[in-house]
Amino acid sequence: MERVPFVVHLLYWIVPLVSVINAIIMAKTIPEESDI
Amino acid sequence: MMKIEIIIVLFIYLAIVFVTGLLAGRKEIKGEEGFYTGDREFGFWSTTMSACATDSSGWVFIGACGWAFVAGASVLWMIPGFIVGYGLNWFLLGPKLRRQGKKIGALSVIDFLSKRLDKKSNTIRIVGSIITTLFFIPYMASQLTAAGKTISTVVGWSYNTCLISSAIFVVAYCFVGGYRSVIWTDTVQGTLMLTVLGLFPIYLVVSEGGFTDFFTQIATIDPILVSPGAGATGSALLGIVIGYLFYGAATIGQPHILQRFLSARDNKTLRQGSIVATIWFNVMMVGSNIVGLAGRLRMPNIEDPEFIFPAMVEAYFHPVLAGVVVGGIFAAIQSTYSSQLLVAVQAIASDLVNCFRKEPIAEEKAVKLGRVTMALLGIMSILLALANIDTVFLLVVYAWSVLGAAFGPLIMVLLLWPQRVNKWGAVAGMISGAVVTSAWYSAGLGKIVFETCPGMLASFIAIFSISYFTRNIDQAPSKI
Repeated sequence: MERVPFVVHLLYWIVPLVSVINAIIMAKTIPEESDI
Repeated sequence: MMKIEIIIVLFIYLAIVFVTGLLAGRKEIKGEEGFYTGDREFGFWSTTMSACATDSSGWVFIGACGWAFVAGASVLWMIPGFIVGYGLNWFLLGPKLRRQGKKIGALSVIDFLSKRLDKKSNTIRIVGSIITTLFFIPYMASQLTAAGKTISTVVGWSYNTCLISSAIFVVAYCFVGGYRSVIWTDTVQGTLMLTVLGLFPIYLVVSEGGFTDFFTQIATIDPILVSPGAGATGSALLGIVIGYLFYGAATIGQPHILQRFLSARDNKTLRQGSIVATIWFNVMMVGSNIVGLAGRLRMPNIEDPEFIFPAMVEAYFHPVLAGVVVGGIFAAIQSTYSSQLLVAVQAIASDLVNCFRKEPIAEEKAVKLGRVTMALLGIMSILLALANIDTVFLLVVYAWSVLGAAFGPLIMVLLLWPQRVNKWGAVAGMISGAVVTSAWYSAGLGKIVFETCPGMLASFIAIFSISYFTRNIDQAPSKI
């Protein structure tokens, strides 16, 4: 069976997963702008 | 014609959307703030679902699937671009736009730009309204075309009847409830879209034996489908990747998406929404791509790859479930059409009309004017869709790019570096972004690098340079 190219792993789950983890970390750590 | 079960489910779904729109309209609309921003009272789920559903038009189910069928994995280079665009929108620009917009009472993006940079004249209001209207009407017409085709395929009525009925359907609930109806219906439709594109691709991959087996089969059919740049190498590959990145980043300048930040209840809403929005664009992009690729395995000889999604749904789903999925396609189309309709109405009936009046129009009259404009714009978009002119669709292809290049850099500079921009820099930025993007596309250079890239760069340069050279004529906005 042929090996799946790395770009497939990268684009179909690594980048999406990292982006979601990144969003969660940013949402928890970056202070919200002060409200009026 | 499809099976009767599909038609019944589709009509039940449409009835639910319509009733939702009417229920939203039951609350009394007190003037323009209520009609155009829903009194800024929307929480995290409705704000996020509406922003995302508006962002993902029928293109996700029709265009993106067809594109994946032809170009494969390379289309997903858009994801890093969306990471940048959504990150800027939800973490940096959105919270600032919401807070400042509420403080100065801005009802739209154009209203915000004008109140911040151009209090004495109406130059920004006129230029911004013209750009928005010019590119939104053909964009709306294209959504009607897609709706007409989808319903016509399912129900079997004539294309023109379906197109006109679709427009009347959406205009009717927007007419009653204004922005509140748009948000409520978007929330229902966005939830359905997320469910459909979250689950259908999983089913397709699992039924082919899992992730490795699925992509091994795809690679066997055509290795280009799993290559980084659809077979391109060297500078051509770089051009493709940069182009896709900028396509995603253009999300920062879309007036109909930025409107969701202006109407959000508070910044906590946006913070919570940022995570769901990130999950959303990943599900939409990866999901539509897998559906397109699965089409190469299951229906390799389909005449028009853009119909791969509805064709597979009809072939492999139980009719009841197929009806729900077709409803999802229609949801994507409706949510974008309704949101663009309201922003275009606002650009004309609120932003542009107030330019030519000494005193602002009375609240009650403003809502009436908005409704009349909505009906007229609905008719215009129907006529444009019925005319089926090629140039209309050429306009649509780069409407997203033009709006992103015209408004994205300006919003970004105004919110992040307000001391670097004044009225004349803003006007130059909007015009140069729109003109350079259009010229780049018309010259056929979009094949080298996507037109948003030069458009945005030109806009940034114009904003900074013209604001600098005219700093003695017009000052930067005061801090708020």
